[in-house]
Amino acid sequence: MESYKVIGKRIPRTDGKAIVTGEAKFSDDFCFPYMLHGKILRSPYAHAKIVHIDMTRAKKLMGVKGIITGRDTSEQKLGVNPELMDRYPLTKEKVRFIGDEIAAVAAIDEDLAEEALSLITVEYEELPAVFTPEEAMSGEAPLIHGKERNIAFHFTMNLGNEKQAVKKSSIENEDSFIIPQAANGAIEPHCSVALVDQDRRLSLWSSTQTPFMVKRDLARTLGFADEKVRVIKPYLGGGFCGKVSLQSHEFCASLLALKTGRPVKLALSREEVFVTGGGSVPMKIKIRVGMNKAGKLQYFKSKVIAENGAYTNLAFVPLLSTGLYLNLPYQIESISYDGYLVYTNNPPSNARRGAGSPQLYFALESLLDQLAADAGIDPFDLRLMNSLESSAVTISKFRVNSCGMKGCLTESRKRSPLGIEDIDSALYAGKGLACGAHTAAASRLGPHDSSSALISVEDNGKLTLWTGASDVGQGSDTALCQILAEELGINLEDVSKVNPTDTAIVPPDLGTYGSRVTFVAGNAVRNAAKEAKKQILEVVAKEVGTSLNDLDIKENKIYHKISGHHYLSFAEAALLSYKQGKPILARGFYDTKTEHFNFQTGEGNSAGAFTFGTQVVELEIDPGTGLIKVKKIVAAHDCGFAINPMFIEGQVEGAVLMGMGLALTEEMLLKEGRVLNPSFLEYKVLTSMDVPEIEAVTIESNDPEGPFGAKGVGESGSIPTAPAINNAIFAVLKERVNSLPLTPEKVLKHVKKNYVRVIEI
Amino acid sequence: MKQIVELTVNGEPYEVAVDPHRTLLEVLREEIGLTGSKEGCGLGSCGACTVIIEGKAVLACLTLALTVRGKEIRTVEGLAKGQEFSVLQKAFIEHGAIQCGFCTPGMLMSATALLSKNPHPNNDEIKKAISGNLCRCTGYAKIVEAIRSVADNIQKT
Repeated sequence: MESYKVIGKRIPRTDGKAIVTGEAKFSDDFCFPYMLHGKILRSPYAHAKIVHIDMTRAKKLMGVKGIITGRDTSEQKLGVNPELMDRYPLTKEKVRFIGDEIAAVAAIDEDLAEEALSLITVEYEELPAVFTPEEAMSGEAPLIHGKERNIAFHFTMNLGNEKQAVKKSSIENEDSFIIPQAANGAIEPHCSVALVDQDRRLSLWSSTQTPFMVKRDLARTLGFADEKVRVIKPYLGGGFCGKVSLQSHEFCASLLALKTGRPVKLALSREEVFVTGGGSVPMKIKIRVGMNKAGKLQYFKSKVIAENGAYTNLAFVPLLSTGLYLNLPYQIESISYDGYLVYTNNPPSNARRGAGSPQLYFALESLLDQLAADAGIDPFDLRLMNSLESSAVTISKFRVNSCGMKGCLTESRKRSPLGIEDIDSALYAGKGLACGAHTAAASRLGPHDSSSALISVEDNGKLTLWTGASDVGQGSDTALCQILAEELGINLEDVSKVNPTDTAIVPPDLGTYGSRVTFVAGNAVRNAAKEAKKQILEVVAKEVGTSLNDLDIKENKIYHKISGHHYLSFAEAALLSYKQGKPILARGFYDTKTEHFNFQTGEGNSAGAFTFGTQVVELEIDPGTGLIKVKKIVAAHDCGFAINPMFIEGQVEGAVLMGMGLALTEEMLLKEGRVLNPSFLEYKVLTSMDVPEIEAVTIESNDPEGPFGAKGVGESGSIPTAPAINNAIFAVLKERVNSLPLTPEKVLKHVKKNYVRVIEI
Repeated sequence: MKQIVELTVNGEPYEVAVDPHRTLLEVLREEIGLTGSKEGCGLGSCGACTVIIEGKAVLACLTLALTVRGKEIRTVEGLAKGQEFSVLQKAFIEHGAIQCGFCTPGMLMSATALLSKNPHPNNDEIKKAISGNLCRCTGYAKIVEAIRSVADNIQKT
């Protein structure tokens, strides 16, 4: 058992002081002299042709300095998947949802910008619109992008032998599940500030999780050379996938800055964020599972209809994962999957924490719970007998190098066994469990899946770390410094990371999504640290006349491994390297050992690592109102190795609450394409009053490829909560509510039935 | 038409020219340059703009700047005295109660207002005091723990 000095320790955020004093700057905190304020004109129609845009009155308004429309933009589109780019930063010709971006203005203050919007007259020719995927696919609906039956993306996967698997199944069951759209709900609204200098170089401060992606796509959409664009990610007030890749407001702020020659700030209102922020992909999942009498799972068969909305953002990733992750966390020999991503004239969906996993496991884990009941098998035992283990290779060729699924199950069972409730009102109290899995290192989406890091050592032994990794609140800046300090054998206090993430200064990293930072950036940082260690030991070895391999660094001292003799302190060695004219400057790279996933077959190990989790929920149902009160959640999640246990707990606690929100209160409500609840007053995000007792348990499966065994866990905690709650409801009422959220109205219907049954007894 | 008004923020007087419809949040952030108080919704539904006015936690985005002339306004920037941080600020850092940090200023102000009125709150009272401050990152657990630790220490002395 390794005894580490810096990692594995509950160390507070190294930048905590900046945050608690209000010094930490988020995008909207940046102001520049002569700065203009931008606002976006949005479509009031769900589907219409733009006949004419008249800007004469708006242009005449004093204080208005610039107006842009789709006419001012190139043919380059937004999006992360070259096959699915269907959206201009400002729409041309047609509007496709209520809220679609038509024009943008820059004025000397926000009020004038709003007034300018009202002076732009747009003539529309309304078109018939379609608001459900089923209608959109029917063949009779208007085509939103000219794609047959409005199908943006269709993915099928048939692995293994279904016929054989069905033969081996003595118990089968199937059910349908409905998961609506849930908003990302990051407390910081989207905001960007664009600045152009005399050499026509563009700088953009933006609330983004992916500064390098934004830089690349800004250059492309603006027709700029890559080196003329710089993107800076300052402190970010949460993302949860809602701030990934180039967004319309970032483009508009940039183009307006170029046209006016002045800095432009474009901040979205909370209402705009709810309408255009995307949120999770709404899905209808039909799933069928077969298992043998002993409880061994034989096949999964699933059909998913997912709603893209008016344009494609990231939604194809959640859809893909509802198919691919049927390979996790259980051994299964046959999977057949048919998934559709469908256009509608509703606002575009996107992705939320967990991508498609919250949706998939809501369906799968609820159905498995039913199968356990059908077969008379304990729900824990059913999962344990089917779980994957470390080194497994799935039929889709996922290499599950580390798998803590069994650990999650046994530990959560120990802490919260089924059948034992601690609550008095036993009649309407119950427990349910569910599992989940997800990537712990994103996925290979492009030519590489990498990160790079630079370390420089000053003449006093202090280190600076440059990395493009973006901390979105998970504490990765601190964790990466911990990895560095541990590898080099020095104090954490001697390490500082360059902030903010500025693409002109730090080496590239794809960004924060898919829980990739600890694994990918962590490895890049560790590799850079190894290189730095080699350089500094070379200096000392030469100085003291010994071999490089005889030396090591511990507690800031360089010593001989065998004799234990201390030669120099780290600071002295650093000074020596300077005196010799060769300061320590190290670089590290890491690209995941993955391959591109095959869209035809569904095969390929596209993720460097996977995370697993189990949650046991204990709740009470109020029989009079149907209201659910969650009393306690035990959440056991596999993070490989906890670089900072306090951060892991924080991630799990936060994710569990998001999972609870998805389960109980969160739902974007739409009518004829209009979002009815675009504010925190009507869209119910859980508050401190809703928090149950949460016991976060860290499971360490020691990933062989992860830095010190660590892998991502940021999304893991948001996945098993909804099915665990659904299963707890079943434990109480013997009924399933298979559509989210599990509102009192839905639950009450089942309570009444149950109540009657009890009276009859 | 703009009016000249003197606002007292963190013990300092600031003379600003504001239109009657400008909120305290806008004036703090844009005229005075104190960007610690955040705008999360502009509607009073998220609590990120919480400041303390005469001891009470108040939503700055719903407060008209002209209505608070002559009143003691305290923002997150006024919690520390130079390099001496308040016990709450230290507790938030120690207990991992900070993730993205966007809700933190509002949380600190709500908690500061609570503890100045009620130095011995129980967990329910703590949760109620911050129930108007939304956090999407932490699940509130460590925030409550941090406030609890300060309340307990006050009890010990």
